[in-house]
Amino acid sequence: MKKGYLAIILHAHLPYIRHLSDGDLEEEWLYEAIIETYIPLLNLLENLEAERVPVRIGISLTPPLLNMLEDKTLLKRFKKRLEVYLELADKEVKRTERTYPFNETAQLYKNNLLNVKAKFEFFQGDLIAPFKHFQSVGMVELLASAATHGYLPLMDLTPNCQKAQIVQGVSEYKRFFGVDPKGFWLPECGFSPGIDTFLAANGLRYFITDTHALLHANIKPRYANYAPIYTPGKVAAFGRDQESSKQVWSATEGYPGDYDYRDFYRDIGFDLDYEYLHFILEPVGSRKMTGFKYYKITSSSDYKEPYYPATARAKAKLHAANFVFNREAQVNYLATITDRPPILVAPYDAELFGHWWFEGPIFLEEVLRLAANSSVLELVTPKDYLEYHPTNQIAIPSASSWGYNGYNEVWLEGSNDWIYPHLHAAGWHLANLAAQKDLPQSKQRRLNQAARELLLAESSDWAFIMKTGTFADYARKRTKEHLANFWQLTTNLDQPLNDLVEKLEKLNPIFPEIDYRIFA
Amino acid sequence: MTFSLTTHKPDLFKNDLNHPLKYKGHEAALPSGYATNRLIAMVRDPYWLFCYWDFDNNSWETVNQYIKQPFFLRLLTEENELAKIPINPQARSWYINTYAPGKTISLELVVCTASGFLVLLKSNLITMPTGSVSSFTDELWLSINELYSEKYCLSLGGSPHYWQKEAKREEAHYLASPIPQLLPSAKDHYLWLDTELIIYGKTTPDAVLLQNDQVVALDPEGQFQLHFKLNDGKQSLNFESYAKNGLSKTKALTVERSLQP
Repeated sequence: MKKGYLAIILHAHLPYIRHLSDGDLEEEWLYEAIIETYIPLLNLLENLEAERVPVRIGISLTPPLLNMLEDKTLLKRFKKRLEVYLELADKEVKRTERTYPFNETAQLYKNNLLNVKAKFEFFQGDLIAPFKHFQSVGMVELLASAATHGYLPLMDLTPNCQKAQIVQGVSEYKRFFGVDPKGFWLPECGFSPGIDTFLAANGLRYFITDTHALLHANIKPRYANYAPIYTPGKVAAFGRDQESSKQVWSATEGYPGDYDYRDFYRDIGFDLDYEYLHFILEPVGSRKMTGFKYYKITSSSDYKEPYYPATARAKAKLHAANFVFNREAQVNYLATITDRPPILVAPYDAELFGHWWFEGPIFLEEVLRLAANSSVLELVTPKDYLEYHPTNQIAIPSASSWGYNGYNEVWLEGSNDWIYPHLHAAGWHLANLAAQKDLPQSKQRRLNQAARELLLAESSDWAFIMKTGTFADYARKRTKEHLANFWQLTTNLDQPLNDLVEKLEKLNPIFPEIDYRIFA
Repeated sequence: MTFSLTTHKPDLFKNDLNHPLKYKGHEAALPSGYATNRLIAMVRDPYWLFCYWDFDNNSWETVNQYIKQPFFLRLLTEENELAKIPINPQARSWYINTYAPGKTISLELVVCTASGFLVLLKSNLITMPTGSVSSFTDELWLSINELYSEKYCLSLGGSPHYWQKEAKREEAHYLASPIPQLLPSAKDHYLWLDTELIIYGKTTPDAVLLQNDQVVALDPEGQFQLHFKLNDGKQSLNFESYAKNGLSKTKALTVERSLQP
């Protein structure tokens, strides 16, 4: 038996963004994530599978992301957009022809894009199927998550909304993956006591929280956050390990800030002539990131030096070795003071790897390879751990999140607190409507759309974006729009509104099988 | 390109793009209230709560009738009143520092009339997170406190700003990392004074040392040195050392600085 366990969990999520017309900037978040994160993630799993490395990793793909990944319209637009990126890649390879090392970097981007195109065609546009495959061969455990990434602790006053987020999240998981989920990713690791009862009622066995959910639990957990606790609802809560988290997340001490890594901000979208770029900036027309970046982080100032891909690749492998070495040291030490093998839970946003941290997928692949071959660590998912150690202490995790300062303040502050009176009123209203029996088909259809609109308004992304300021107008507009749609659909139920229902079903076609009674 | 969807990314990539594009189109209109008598309290963190309120038409009339009188939010536990916070009833929302982590709290919105307090609204109950390690231990398990402290320290060892902030909030209002100060421009006549605090000591080399709940790095001989900027005011620094054999030692140091103008 190994001395301890390492559970790496990636959380892949994007808000549901699907506009009627093509070309909106926010829709590109999905395309960029496919190119920079999701396909590289599939590539690295494929490499490890080919090498027969005994990998175990948890991945949560949220329902909004899954719904976008199956959306024919979005996939068609993605293919079109990919061709534009490839055109830019050709131009860039030519433009940098005689300039070292820029040409090498341009060629790297071009190869990446060609690989994305080949993979996308190979999977026939279905990027969900390979994740299912990796689950079926035992490399990946897929976790369920809330319907629209609703921040559950701030729904304490509308428990029917907490329940609806969980029920819909689980039913989407079953629709996409054909099996029952065991694990649940709480959006933003947001927990408050009571949520666990809804998780238990939906057959879930565990969820991930931040460290202090366990450290501040009532009763004091014997193994701190190095073993899970069972909540009174009989679901296991796993607490994030701070050390592995800091090494990857921290701006100052974390790996991604290494000066040899590619700089995220310096992008030709802002550097080159408008005329040269106009075809990629269309149809919006304003300058934006293109993904073509030729400089390394270099320093904490604006001074930047050219990026050398080979150096950065070597650095990523070095950092991976350092990461695994540190986890081994941690486990070796903990094993001397505990009477059960400790588990280190290391959850990250999937989009960190590849999108923000360009070399992240190289790092992750190497970490998985080294950890799988470690004599100290055993790669597990929380489900595996519970099979090895079914007996755990019972305690109530503290209300908490992994947001700034550890509680609710990111999603409840001056820029976004105005949403809660509206969300609460809508939640209570829908609870009353959902309790009504024997409604005719037409009203049920209308309330199903109202349920979609309320779930979309509840996305934690909007409150978060309002706080960070960038794209805040968009987040405000989306929140108001979904709430206004909700009130239109649920007021004067006897007055027919077929046109509006049809229009909104086309506009926001998420959750094709939703039943509004989940809000009862 | 910014899909910064968790709070950790801005830490890493804080100079996010301020994109020139503003989202086009009108924002849908939402009602300014729902004409219901309602006072809702929500937990923000172990200390702070957020509350909002709404009145039906009759209650708005009452509010207007007393509009020149003082309105308060009463902060209540089951046993007593913790505070009475003067508010403007038309504000419709308020943030309150409860100074009551772990307590179950409710609010009342009251107006002070000639005949006493008139309660206009009562809120739901909320339980503030404790923000600290529980003092309850499970009777079914044998809890080893020293062991726990050690593991607790390790977890804290990787503290992100959450821990730093929390520690700051609790104890170290006047402690900060030494930050290079900008001197006034050389052409002005000036007198500039500042001071820093250096604390050093030694403990058993294999012990875990905490200073106000923050882990202190020890050298192989168990020696340590801390360097702070020292601001005006009184500060107490508590040191706890947990040895591997289960023994613990505690020492406290109080420092006061007062800079006269």
